[in-house]
Amino acid sequence: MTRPLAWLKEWLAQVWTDLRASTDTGVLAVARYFGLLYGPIDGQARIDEALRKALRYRLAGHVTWRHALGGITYLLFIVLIVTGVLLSFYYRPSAQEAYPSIQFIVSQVPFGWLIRDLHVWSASLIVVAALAHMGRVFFDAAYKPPRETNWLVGLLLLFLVLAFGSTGYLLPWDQWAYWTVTEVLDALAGLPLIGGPVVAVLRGDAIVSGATLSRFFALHVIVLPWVALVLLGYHFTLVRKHGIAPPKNEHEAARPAVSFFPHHLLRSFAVSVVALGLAVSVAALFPRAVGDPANPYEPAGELVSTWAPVDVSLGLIRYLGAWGFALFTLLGLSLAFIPLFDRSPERSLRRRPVVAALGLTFFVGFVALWLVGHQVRSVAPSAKPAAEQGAPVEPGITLPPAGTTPVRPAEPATQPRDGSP
Amino acid sequence: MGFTDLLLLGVAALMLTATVIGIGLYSLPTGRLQLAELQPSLRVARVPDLPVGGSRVVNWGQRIILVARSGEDQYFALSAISPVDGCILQWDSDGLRVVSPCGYVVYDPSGNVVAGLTNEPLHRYGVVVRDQVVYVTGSYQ
Amino acid sequence: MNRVRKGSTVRHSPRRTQRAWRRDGRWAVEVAVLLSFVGAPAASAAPPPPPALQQDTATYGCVICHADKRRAFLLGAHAERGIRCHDCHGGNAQAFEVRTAHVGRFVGRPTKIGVAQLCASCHSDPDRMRQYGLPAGQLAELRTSRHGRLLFAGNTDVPTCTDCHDAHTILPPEDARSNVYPTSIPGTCARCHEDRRLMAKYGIATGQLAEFRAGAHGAALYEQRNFAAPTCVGCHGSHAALPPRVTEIVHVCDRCHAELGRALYAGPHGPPALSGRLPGCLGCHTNHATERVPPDRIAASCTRCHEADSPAARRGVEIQQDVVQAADDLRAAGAAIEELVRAGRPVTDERFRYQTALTSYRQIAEVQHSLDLEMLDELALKVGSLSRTIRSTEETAAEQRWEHQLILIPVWFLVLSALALVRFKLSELKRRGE
Repeated sequence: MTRPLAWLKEWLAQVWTDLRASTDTGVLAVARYFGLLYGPIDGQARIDEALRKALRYRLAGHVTWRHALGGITYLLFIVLIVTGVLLSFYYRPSAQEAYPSIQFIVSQVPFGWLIRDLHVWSASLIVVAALAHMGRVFFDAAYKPPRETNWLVGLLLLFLVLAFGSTGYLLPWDQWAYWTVTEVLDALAGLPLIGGPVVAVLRGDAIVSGATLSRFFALHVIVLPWVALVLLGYHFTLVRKHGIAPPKNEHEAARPAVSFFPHHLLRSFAVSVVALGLAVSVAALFPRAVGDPANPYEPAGELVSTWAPVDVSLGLIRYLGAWGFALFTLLGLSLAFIPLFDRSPERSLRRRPVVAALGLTFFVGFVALWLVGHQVRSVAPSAKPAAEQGAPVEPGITLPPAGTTPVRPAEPATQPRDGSP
Repeated sequence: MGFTDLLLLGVAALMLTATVIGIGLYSLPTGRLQLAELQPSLRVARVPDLPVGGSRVVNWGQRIILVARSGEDQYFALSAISPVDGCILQWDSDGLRVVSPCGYVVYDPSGNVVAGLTNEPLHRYGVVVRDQVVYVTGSYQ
Repeated sequence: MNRVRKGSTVRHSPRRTQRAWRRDGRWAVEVAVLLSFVGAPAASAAPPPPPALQQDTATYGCVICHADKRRAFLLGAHAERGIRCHDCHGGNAQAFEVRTAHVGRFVGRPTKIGVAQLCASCHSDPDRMRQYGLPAGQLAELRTSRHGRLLFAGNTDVPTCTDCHDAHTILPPEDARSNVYPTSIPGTCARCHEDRRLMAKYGIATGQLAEFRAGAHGAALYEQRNFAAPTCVGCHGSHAALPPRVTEIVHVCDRCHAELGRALYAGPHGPPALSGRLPGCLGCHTNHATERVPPDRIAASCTRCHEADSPAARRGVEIQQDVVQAADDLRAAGAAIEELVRAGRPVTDERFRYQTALTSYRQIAEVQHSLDLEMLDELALKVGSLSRTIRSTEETAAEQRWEHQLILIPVWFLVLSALALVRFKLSELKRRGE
């Protein structure tokens, strides 16, 4: 009995020695690529030495709680990936089965409701976290050289998050999702020159249909994750390369440095746990409502928003009109491009009043509009139903549409007359 | 390893275990998602249970269908919702007609309007009898 | 009268007429007219007449002066059947001048009675109308109607045939351009019946068209294009138009609403309706607006005839209670289904139950005409029990959703303990002077 056991122990010891003796720090490099490891990678040291060195890395003292926003964004992204993969176990991306498959997830699968609501809420929270992170970098002027490339990559990541949310918005295939996407695509098609071809590729059909659903699903689940992988990896690599931006004043610089292990790890753990707790809380307390199943022949009575940027858009369109929407987008875009021109080493907020004011308007405005849009909750759609767009009208007799508000007992619209007939 | 460290590790391990168990329960296959509307046919009844002149109203996914046996080997299936007021239609085997219990509307077994408050015919479905079991199918044969 | 026989080759008139052309210098006009024969069909929106027709009209002098009438006439059904101007108006169709054309039995503009007799000369001949599948009793019917009685007494306010069916463009009722197409009929009647001054002469109220359009029959006709719905002629008759007599009202309505009529006759309201003491359906409903009585006004319509505390009125109150309860139950079931949809639950079984409940509710609307309280109670119970089942499903779902929130207890327990422990650990490290 002891002979095979001894042989096993010997074999394991040999593996560990080999591992320790290996100078290949590729594993650590991969960990750093995925943003999982702080500190530099020493290509000369052995893997265990390199790991210990990374763990002992000391962060500058001015790295405080506000620097955790980027990490929170990343955490939410991981949550979205995990919940997304789990949802894709049961979700069926076809026009007929999409809606019932989500009903199945929510009602039949254990914890399906949690996975789904967590996914939807994290999609809203990640936008807020990404913008908060962007705001932190903006106000800390951490976009100054040599970090302007990373600012651009971060911007691309923001667009990526918005693209993820936009493609995912159609997947529930309910009336709200269907008609919102129809309107957005119709608006995009109005763009000069590129509008038509881009929308044709996105929509894949004359109207939003199963073809559109397939394309959006492919983008959401295959294309965009690869783009995210590349962009995120580059983003983290650049952060490790340039390090955290230096302190803005002596007060910040005077704080003592903090080692990664265990101090920073503990702080990160606390922040992650709270962020996860908050995400699960909102998911459990405010489940995402489902609309009636999508019907291309009947426009929705109202378009209820289920994602933060849509709330913001609703608020903008309702109170400031289409021009207000355009202006706000331009404001955001200008904030994005200011850092490309603002290359002076000045980092104090007080001496960059214009930039500070613009930034404040945008970020505070975003939150305010989110709340306003949430009150607005819904707008009437302006898209035309399929019949008017030339698509074939549904044959057969008109039944009360399945799953929708059933036929109500008819009450007469006119006041009854008391007079004699 | 202090007491605090142990507790901390314990809490972290607990969180991890709970998450893994939750994901495991979620991933274990439970019922299957079967959409009735996408199936090619729906079982109605055994032939002996559906006598001549008898009928059944079945719920096939989103559709409500009236299946009736008008003769020894004659079956028909029509949409059971009256286009006039949404009532569920009935088969009158004596008069060989489909009528509504709540309004005046009369159809023949092919779904054509014979008389009444509407001009819209009823949607027809096919009926297949196999191995002494009656099924309703999606297309009219 | 010169009559070109159908099918015969066209023969130009003898030289005498040709000399007359040249003598009067009308040949230029003839060329112009001939060109207009070719051009007019293309110019007007009307479909081109069949070739035989074109041959025939080539010799018709009427159209020189009355080209507009020709255009109007060609749109109608008479033109296709080979009827021509002189068949109704008489005169000489071959002539090209007024004094030679308006001769013999020529009638330019017939009187109203003349029109009726003229149309009836063909349309009351069953032998003639058989081939076209048309009825031949219109004149006889007209004589029984109020329009007809006044007409044959010499009244010129009432319509004759051409007032409703146009004089020249006579289209069949199934042609959507016709004055007697189902959706056009109310407008045709309204030409006179919405004229307040005209109607005041005869003491007839106006406003029926607006009521009809707003009512159930108008909605069915105009919005749903349900041509099973009645127009004016459906209840009043077309040529024999008269408002139904009091004893006839129920029969008129139950031509389509057969179940309601049967229920009414089976109940206590049947005999008074047949004898005329109760004006049939108009006891509770109006005639043109034909609206449903809302559930909460049922008892009020009983007290229009019955004493407030009579057994009849009390039964009305009980009926109202049943109906109102059923309506509330149904509405609650509908709201519950909507809640289930919002919660992402499948609702096929609930929808089926709702349709069953709706069927029973609609049956209540029918059965209440027989005032059979027992049946009403039974149906209301059915509606109630189905509605309760649906609502209980929704309540279970709501409960489950509440239970889902209990997950927050262990989650926050873990989160807060983790936070506390991290805090302890960090302060411990600080104390150790790390």
